[in-house]
Amino acid sequence: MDYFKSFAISASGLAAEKLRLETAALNLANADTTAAPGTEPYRSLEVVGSATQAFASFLPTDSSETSLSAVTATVQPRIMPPRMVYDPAHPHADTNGFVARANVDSLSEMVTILRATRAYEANIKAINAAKAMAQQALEIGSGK
Amino acid sequence: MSMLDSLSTVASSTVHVALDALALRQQLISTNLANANSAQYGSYRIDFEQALQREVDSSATRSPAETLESLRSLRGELSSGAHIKESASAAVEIDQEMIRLNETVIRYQALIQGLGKYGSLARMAISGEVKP
Repeated sequence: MDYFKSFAISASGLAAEKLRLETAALNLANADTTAAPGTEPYRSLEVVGSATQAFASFLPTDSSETSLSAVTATVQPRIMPPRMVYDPAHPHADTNGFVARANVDSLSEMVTILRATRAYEANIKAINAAKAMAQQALEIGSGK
Repeated sequence: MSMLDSLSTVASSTVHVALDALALRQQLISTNLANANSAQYGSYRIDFEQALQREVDSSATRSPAETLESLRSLRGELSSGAHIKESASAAVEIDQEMIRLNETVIRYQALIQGLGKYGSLARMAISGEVKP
């Protein structure tokens, strides 16, 4: 039993959730940005996670030296039109008086943050479980 | 393992298989949790209890050597992923996975404790000293 595989699996999960949190923070930071007419406002980003490899590659019989990672997360822009708000006095207003605002849904970003935090915690628990089992395994044969 | 082979009984081999399988289950749960927010991810499960129970049940009608041999082959099956199931439909539920994770660790610890007691029996047999 290779406990380092378990650590590598959970580490990839931690990295994915951290990326999710950073992306949500970036989205929230840009939530109120506007764009001058003719330029594109900030597009909110979405982290797309997908399972990297089948579990078979983590099995003890698999000797291929692939880098161990259970999940890959990529950042992709959400395909959404900018939010047009009527505000003729705004410096970025176009000829019709509309301002292109970043299309960030603060509510769903907050939900993403919560979900990422919980999933991060779950990965930490999995690491701790692997650690506890590895430490227990060292105790084999030392029974009193 | 060669020296320990003479010490291996059906009981200790059963424990070895269970330890391997529980360690594998912990890895599967880790993988599921790492993919908790992944799109289109089904979760993995390993079911080894029934297979192990069958071996233990049939040990009554077989010689210890036969049972040891089939336990060894069960161990090989487990490490090649034979008892792992992937359910594409079931999404990862963090709470259920955490319960399984805790259960796995506790069972692992219980088995280690049992193995320790077995080791102390063997030690007692070798040294001839009875320690309380």
